[in-house]
Order: sequence, then C-alpha cells, then structure tokens
Amino acid sequence: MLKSTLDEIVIVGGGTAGWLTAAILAKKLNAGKPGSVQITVIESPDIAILGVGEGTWPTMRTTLQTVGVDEGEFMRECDATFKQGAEFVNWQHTPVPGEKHSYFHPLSAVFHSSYDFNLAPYWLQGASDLPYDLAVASQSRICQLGLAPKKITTAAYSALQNYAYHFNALKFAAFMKKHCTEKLSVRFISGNVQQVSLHPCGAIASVSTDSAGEIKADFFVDCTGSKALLLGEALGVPWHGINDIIFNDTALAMQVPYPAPDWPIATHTIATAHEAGWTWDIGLHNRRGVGYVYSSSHSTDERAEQILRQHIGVQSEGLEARKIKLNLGYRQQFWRKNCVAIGMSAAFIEPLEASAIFLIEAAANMLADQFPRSSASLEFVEKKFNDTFKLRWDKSIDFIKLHYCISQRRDTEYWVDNCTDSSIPQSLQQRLAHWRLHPPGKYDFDYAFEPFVLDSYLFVLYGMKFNTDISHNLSSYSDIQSAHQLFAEIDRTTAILQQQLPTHRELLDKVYQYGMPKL
Amino acid sequence: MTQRIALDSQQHQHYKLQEDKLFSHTKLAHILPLEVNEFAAAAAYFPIVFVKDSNTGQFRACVMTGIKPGQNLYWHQAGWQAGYTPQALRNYPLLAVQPDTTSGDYVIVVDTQSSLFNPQSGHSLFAAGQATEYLQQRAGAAIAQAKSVLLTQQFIQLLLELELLVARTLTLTPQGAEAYDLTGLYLIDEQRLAELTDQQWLSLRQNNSLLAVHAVLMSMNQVSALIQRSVL
Repeated sequence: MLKSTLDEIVIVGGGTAGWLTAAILAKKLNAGKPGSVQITVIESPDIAILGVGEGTWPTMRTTLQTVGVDEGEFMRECDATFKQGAEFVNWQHTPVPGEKHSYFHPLSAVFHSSYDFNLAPYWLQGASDLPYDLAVASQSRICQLGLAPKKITTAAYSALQNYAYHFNALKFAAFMKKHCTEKLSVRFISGNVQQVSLHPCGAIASVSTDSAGEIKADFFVDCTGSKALLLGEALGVPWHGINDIIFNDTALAMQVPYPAPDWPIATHTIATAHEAGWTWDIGLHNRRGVGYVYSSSHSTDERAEQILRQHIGVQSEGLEARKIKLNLGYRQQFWRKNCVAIGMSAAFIEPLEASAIFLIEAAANMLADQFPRSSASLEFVEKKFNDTFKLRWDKSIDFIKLHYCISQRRDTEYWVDNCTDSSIPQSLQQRLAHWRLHPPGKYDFDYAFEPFVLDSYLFVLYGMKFNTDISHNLSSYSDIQSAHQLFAEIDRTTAILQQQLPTHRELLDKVYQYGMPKL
Repeated sequence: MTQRIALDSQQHQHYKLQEDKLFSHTKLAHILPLEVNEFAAAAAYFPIVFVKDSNTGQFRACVMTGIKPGQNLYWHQAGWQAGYTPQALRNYPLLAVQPDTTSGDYVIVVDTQSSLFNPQSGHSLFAAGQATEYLQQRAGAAIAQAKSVLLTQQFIQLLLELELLVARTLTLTPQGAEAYDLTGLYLIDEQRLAELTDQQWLSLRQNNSLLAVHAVLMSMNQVSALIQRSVL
C-alpha cells in the first residue's frame, strides 16, 4: 500500500538524467525545507555514465539559472562552449567528390520570428538573393564567422543571440552532483541496485542495494539508462522500437585534440551526412568530440570506422574509436504507478538535433510542477504525463525524420530507404503534402509543448531546398515591401553584431578567466 | 591604447618621470576609476557609479567626470576642477600588479605610451642600479592603490551578493539639444537597501561597508552638479 502522501523520492541512477532531475526536483519542491519532500539519488560506483550527449538546447540556460548554478563556473568546470545552432553538411543532395554544400539551423531567428511575419513565402518568390538560412537569420552568418553569441559584459544567462551549450557530459554530471549535494539538500547514496520490491498493488516499495541495504521510498525515478531497471525490468513496461523510421542504431565516437591551443572553436554543431549515417563534430574548449552515427543494416563497423577516420583526417591517427550501441524508441508508458523513467530509460531517438537532454529537462520540469504529493492524484498525473510525452516523442521523431526524407541523396540504399514512403510516419507525410502547396505556418504547430516549432521546420525544409509551389496563391503574399524591409533589417543587425561580438574562443577564454557578470 | 611594461633597473636606468598636475591623460575620459577607500572623499565632488570593464565584464567603481563619452568636465588648463583627485590619476603612469598572487610580491609597471615617462626630463628613477627615493615613494603609492583595488572588489562582491546594484540609464537633455541616454551605469538601489534583513545589514557593517554605501548614495547629489557644469 502506498502512503497517502508522497514524501520521499528516490532517483536510481546518476548521470546527466539523474542529477539534472534531482536538481530540478530539489529546487522546485524546496527540498531541505520543513515539510518538503526528501530527494535521494542512488548512483552505482561501477556503471560508467554513457556520456555522449554533449549538446543542449537553450532551455538549459533557464534550467541552470533556476537551480542556482553560476554560469561562468559551470562553463569552466565542464569545458563548455556556446552552441548557436547546427550546420548540416551534404544532406541535400549527393555531393560530388570534393564538393561541400550546407545549411544552418540557428537557435534564434533574432527578432524576426516567423510567427509575426512569415518571410518564407517571400523568400520563395525570390525577394532575397541569399539562401534561406542566411536571408532570415543573422545568427547563421554569426556562426559562419565563428563569433560568440554575447560579450563579456553581457550578464550571465543573457544573450545577444540565443544560445545553448556544448559540454563534457561526464564533467557535467559530476558538477551537478556536487551542486545537488552541497547546495540543494539532495541525499546521495553510492551503491548498486540489486533488487526491486513491489507492493501488492504493483507500485514499487523499495530497492535493495549492495552497500546501503534496502531503501524505501514513496516515489521512484528510473534514470538507469537503456537498462531501465525499474520501469522496464521491474514493472515490465515494453519498449516501442522505431528502427523502421530512424535507422541509426550504432555510433563510433572519438575525442580529437585541437591542432593548436588557440585554434578557432566552432560555435555550432557540424552534422555531415555520409553514405550510411552522419558525423557530429562538437567543439569543446579543450578538444572536439567527433562521432559517426550509422545504420548497422547499411554499413559494417569496419566501413564505418573508415568513414569516420577519413572524415577527421590525419588527426584521427592513433586515436581510438569507442563503439556505442543505440536502442532507438521509447517506452510504451513513461510513468506507471509510482515510477517515472527519465533519460534513456524512457526514450532515445538519435543525437541529431540534441533532443535527449532537452527532453530530460522537460520531463523533470513537468514531474516537479505536477508532483502528486497526495497519492490519490497519482493516476491522473500519470495519464497526463504519458499522453504529453508520447506526443512530444512522436513529434520529435517526425522532425528528425524530416532531415532525411526530403533529401535528394540516392547514392546508397541507406538514403533510398530513408526516402521511401513506408519509412515516413503518416503525420509527417500529411504535413509534407500540405507544405508542397502552402508554406508552413503557426497553425501547423499549435500544441503548447511542441518540441520543434515553425522556425525549426522552415530552416530544415528550405535549407534542404524543399519545393513549395505557391504560384497559385501569390495574391496572398503581396506585402513585398515589408518583406524587403525585414530582409534589410536582418542585414543591418548582422553588420552591428559583427562589429560588437568577439570571436567564440576570445569570449570563452575570458569567461573561463573572469566568469560572467551577475547583472 | 596603453602599453605596460615592468620597470627594470637596467633597461630603464636613464629614464625619468615627470609630474603632470593637470592630469592631461584624462582629458577625454568621462569616467575614472575610484577605489573604496576614496569614496568618502570623492563623494563631495563626483557621482560614484559602477560600470563593467569592457575587457573582463567585471564591475569596477568609477567617478563620473562627464555626461557623455569623450568629455571630462573637471579637466581644465588652469588645473583640476575638484577638491579631490582619485589616486589612480596621481599615480599615473605607474601601476602595481601582482603577477603571482601566491607570493604577494608586486611589480611596478609603466604605461610606455605616456610622455611623462622619458629619458630627458623629470625625476630620476634609478641611481647606481638602485631605485631612487622618489621612485620608492611613487611605487609605494602605486602598491597602496593596488591593495585598495582588492578591497573595492570585495565591496562590489558584497553589493552583488546582497543584490544592491541595479542598472540605471541616465536620460540627459542638454539645453537646445536632443535628449540622449547614458547607459551601462549601475547604482546602489536605495529601495533594496531599505529592504535588507537585519542579518544582511549586519554583514555590511561587519565588512566596514556602511560608510562606502552611504558615500555612494550621497554622491548621487553630484549628478545635478555635473549637468550644471556641462551647460556652463
């Protein structure tokens, strides 16, 4: 039997998911104050953190600020850098040898949100000579120039250009652990969970550890990674695979040093398409993280390693590649009874567009905001949570699939299969059919917790040269003058930013030395 | 652009230091650095404000000497127009720095762009390979300033912790000209000061910061004096 009030939460598993969840819960539920919930993290001293998730979303800024982290200290401790978006290289068509084509998906459209005035139909009519990504966002050009998103005088967590982070995930987990235990009254137990005991009603009663015995709690968070010890193993919630939609089930990762200490640091993730997957390239302060994520049905591991080494070039010599198996999909339920899974125990798509950490933040925030202090509310919150996260994961899968299925590449079976209708979710097919004749608009993204919104879709669609034929409806888009004014304003903003912003490395070096001003 | 190098008894054995009672190097400066031990003396003549160092993002304390960039209303060819001169001006072109904070030793550096530092005229710096009495006295003043810089940083840290600093934009309307905004200034918020808990208030007292806080608040009276000066 569950108690009538839920007063103790145990999070099983540390890592990015465990410690981030602990911090958000502790802060929002005022852990440590009289009458509040007690939060405990049980972390295995033996299981290594996967720690490949090195890219975040701008939401991480709000999260870290809310839980009381000093931004400068966090960046210094985690080798963090500023991420202003992603550049997609060679996705649009099969590259001829030696050629490179690319488009940007920046994190902000600056002041030019397509919600107020959608520039896409005017760009489609040829109102700008530039490619879509450069025409509508200063930030694409700032990324090209390798400039920082802010100045050293800009207050912590404030931005001149929207930004997220790249960081060392292992160091981030250690940093959050310290913050949680020292500042947020989170209890920490080092131990391996060996057994999970259930109440007769099917809820979890306790977990047994090798070092600290049996630990009872009223509510459990499963942050045990793809093993899903609680929700998967103990409660038997099945996994819903998505490898019929997204094929990349294996990754090879490498840590590549910079050729010189003052080498420029990219301020965006570089995602380069290859014959059976794509490579990520993430610039941290002290090294790059480079990896190839590919479909094992379309490539051997040997061939994949060859592709990765070719892509990195001479610098890959002598470096070891770490192989990681990825299980793509999500649990059929994320929350059952008094247990919720957050992180890879709940779902994983693939690293493209860095949705993993974002959805950890989103889940922890919803859990904290809706936490059923009274066990009578459990069932209602469980349903709400499951419904919204099913929707969020499905929508994320659609957006990831979009990057592949509108490509003109047909150089390998991998690309042919990716563009076959049977691999494209119905929901995405319907929207693509509509967008062949109408540019996407805000009504296509009307869910309050839409993970990817209008601007993101526009950047990918028109970065990929998706053809929207609006010739039958030009009369609806006749405000050419406003469009020209906006395009000119974006040019002016870019010029001003270009003058004011330091290079990415220049700013990082200063942040590491001086920290960031509080206001 | 200032270029600083360490004074060296060999390299600079023939160099001399002139004194400039007009402080001409500040002719175009609308803000000048001030340290916390000077607040009480300076408050009667200038507004004391906080600005971010454009190179480090760190806050520092300053006196306002003009109401727009490029203007110093206290500089005059007849002499400095205030009853107090910030120590940084008096010490120029010398500065004491601590290259290694663990040892605590100071090194005296000089702005080589300054014409006050030259081989022709002024007070000798070295004699027979040793610092002259004049240099020792100037170096002592520079070291005293460096020590007060640390106190100022601690004071500003306390203000930030107590959330007493706020950004303020001064909107200025000179006679016969269009209004403009002077931005990037941070002041002590009187309202927040009044709302401090007893414990926070005590922390100000224990850090000997009460006088400095009040000097900053009193100095706000000099804003109107500064504007007055600008229309004369």
